[in-house]
Amino acid sequence: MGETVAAVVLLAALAVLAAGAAAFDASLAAGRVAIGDPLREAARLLVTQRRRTLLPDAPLRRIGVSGLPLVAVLAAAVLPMGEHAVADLPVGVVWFNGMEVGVWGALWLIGWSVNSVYPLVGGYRFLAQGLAYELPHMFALISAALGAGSLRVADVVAAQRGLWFAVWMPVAFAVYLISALAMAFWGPMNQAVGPDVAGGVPAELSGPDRLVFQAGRYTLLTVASAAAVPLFLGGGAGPALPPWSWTLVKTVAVLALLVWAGHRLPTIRMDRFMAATWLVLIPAVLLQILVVGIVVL
Amino acid sequence: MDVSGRLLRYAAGRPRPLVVTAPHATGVRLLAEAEIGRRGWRPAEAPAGASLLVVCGIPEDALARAVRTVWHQIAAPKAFVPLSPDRTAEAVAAELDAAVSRLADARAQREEAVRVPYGEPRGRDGGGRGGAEHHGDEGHGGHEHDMGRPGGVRMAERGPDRDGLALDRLHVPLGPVLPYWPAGLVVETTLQGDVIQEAEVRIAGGAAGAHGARAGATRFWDEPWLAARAGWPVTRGAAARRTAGAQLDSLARLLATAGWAGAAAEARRLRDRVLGEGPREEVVRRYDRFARRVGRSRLLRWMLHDLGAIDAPGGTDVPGWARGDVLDRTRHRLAGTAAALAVLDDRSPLDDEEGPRGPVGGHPSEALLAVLPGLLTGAELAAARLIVASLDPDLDQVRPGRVTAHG
Amino acid sequence: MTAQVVAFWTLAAVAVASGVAVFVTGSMARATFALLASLLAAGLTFLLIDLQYLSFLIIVMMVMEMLIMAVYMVMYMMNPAGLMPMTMVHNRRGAVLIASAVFVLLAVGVLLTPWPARRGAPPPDPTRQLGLSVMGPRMLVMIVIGVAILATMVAAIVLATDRGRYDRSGDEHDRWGRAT
Repeated sequence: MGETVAAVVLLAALAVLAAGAAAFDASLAAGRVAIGDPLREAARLLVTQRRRTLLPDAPLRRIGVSGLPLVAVLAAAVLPMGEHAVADLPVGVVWFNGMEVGVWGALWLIGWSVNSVYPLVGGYRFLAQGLAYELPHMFALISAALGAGSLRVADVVAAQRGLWFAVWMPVAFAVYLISALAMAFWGPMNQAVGPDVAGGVPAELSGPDRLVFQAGRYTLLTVASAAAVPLFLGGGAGPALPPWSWTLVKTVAVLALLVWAGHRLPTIRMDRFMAATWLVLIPAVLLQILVVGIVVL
Repeated sequence: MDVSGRLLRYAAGRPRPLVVTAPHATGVRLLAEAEIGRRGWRPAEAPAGASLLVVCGIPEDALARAVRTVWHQIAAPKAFVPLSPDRTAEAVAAELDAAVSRLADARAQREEAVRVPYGEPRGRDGGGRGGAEHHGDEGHGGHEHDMGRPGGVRMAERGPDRDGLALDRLHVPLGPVLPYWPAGLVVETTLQGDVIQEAEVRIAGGAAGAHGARAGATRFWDEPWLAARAGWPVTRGAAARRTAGAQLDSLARLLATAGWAGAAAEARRLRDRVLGEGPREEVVRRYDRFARRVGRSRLLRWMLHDLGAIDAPGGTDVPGWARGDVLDRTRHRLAGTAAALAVLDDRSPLDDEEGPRGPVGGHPSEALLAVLPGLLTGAELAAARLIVASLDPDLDQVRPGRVTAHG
Repeated sequence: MTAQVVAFWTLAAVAVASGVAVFVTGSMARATFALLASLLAAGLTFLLIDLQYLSFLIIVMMVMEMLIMAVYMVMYMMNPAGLMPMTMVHNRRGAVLIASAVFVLLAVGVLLTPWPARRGAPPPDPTRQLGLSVMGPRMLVMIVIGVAILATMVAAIVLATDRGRYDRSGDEHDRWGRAT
């Protein structure tokens, strides 16, 4: 019973936050307050026909399109909304990682299945991006887990009672933020859906398919932001307010930062970025782990 | 209780326009873009995401076929907005308003959706995997599965890549319907993965044919110089406005292609302000802030350097500003805009030939198109887009019969 | 207990069925994802013996691995989308013989092995217990080796790709990729 309520609350919170992110994004794009635009766009897509391409692989497209929001929601299940998560797994950090990797599959499947050049290029671009961001991302998660001595997200939160991990693991936190942008293929990491390939992966999606894709993308960005809170920003800890409201405030702050960064920065191409991740980010975050390990010992 | 009708009417106020521009229609494109920006509509990047097809100018030949294909591929509810080159700002706004009310007309939209079986894919010659919406070819309808041509599409052929592997090759045209792409330009590419192996430049839209030479083939960006040459009184300030507008327009395309949506939008707003006779002080103040932000961006520098370098164009008449790489050209455009803004109020008569893209009489865009295939060969798709955007050839300048270039 | 048994057999059936699907479909994409489904089903069985960490780790690794695999499967196969008739099976008779022989061998092995009976209760943290029994006192060595392997991988890739796919400046190839 309690779990069902928690799951409903989680879904509602994700929906509201994702819609909020879309509204903020639309406002930044239009240069004025445009809070209603995402709703109108959703309405438009609901009544728009579904697009057919030549010789598509329809089952794979369905798996890809529906998989995107699915993995986002499943990844969110281990994040504590106040004091409790929907599923407080003992290895929650690994679960989060596992679900988030599902994005690779979803994007490549959509890009492949519609049988069109630009989506296909977008799908492959995301795989290259995955190779660039995934290892630093994993090491950033491991830094937090090592600092807490546990893979349970609640333990990671508890370990930050004195000091936020973001403060004494700045490298891991910075790497996490970069990888959060990358996993939601957002802003500077949007090559998979870039304007240079006519929108990339979703270029051939219209109607409900596009709606689900867009909703999944904003949800993913929300979940990536929300995960930064228990992992690096002390979870629900804070003065005066109850934990759930602190979680919400911090999530909104990170989410707003990421959406804003999307309009402030140009796209990073993987042919240039790959060397930087493997030669700079991975060693840097490994050193971070070393420091954390020494401190914990 | 007509739910879908209500949704349709609710959504009609925020359409996603896909803007297609024919050669010699730059002026009306600027009006349409400005009006769309003012309304806060977000342009679509591909037909699948669009609900309005805004066609600026009069497409001919291959471009006309491409427009028909794209219109066919846009999912209902949809509206078609043809804007002839002589439309005023008020007329453009009125056309867009009319399109919104057509979008909101649930009955007509339903009839349209039933009458025209939408999006029925067509086979295409040499389409390989896709290239779907950006291909102008008609014909080959249906799903015939003859040997070697499933769905009427030729299978990819193979060719050696740089590492000696035999990899699939696809023939994919870039353009003419692509966001932030020069009007009427088509680059026929042979792709291996996302690397261009061969490139060939074509012009869609009729400028290459007999129609391009007809009277009224305007060259919007070169207008002040052509007018001065014809004996009209033109001030340096008026020409500088046009130069600044052209540079900002090219910068906006480059920044948008580079994925920097915020800076691109600011460049477009500045462009519209300059061309709309905005006061110099205000424009210069806003431009300085914009130029500082773009010029100082390390990320942009990192992404643009060493792309599409033109070093010693011996024997060619490539204008001087085009030398160097994409980053050099970006800096040159920023400097060119600043220089033009400095003389915005100069009322002395115009007596030079230096248009935004080089000597007006020299048709510099023809030289740009000539070097394009060589620059694109071996480039990855994203780099190729940035190279094209950094050169931003103006196809209005190109004389008929001076177009095809191979790489 | 019964729920566990049902879950095991369901996962086993899914693993085998999607394994078969790999060889039935002509599309490389479908084959890759069928194989992925099979491996995920195998990974999920680890949950039944409380090895959550290993289970999720297998999911992470397999998703990444199979997607990279998809790149190569698509790259090296003619007709990777399965749009033209093709078969994933070659040398049918030999394959049947080898597969049957291996199956019989494994089945006999399973039936003849004297499996130990359970003594005592499962430990509170089976993952930790498994790690200790595999690595034992050599934990520190293994960790150092792990980092060394990663460093070797990074270094090897850097050395192997001094020119990338897109980078054509500074090498002895012309624009077409032919040696000059």
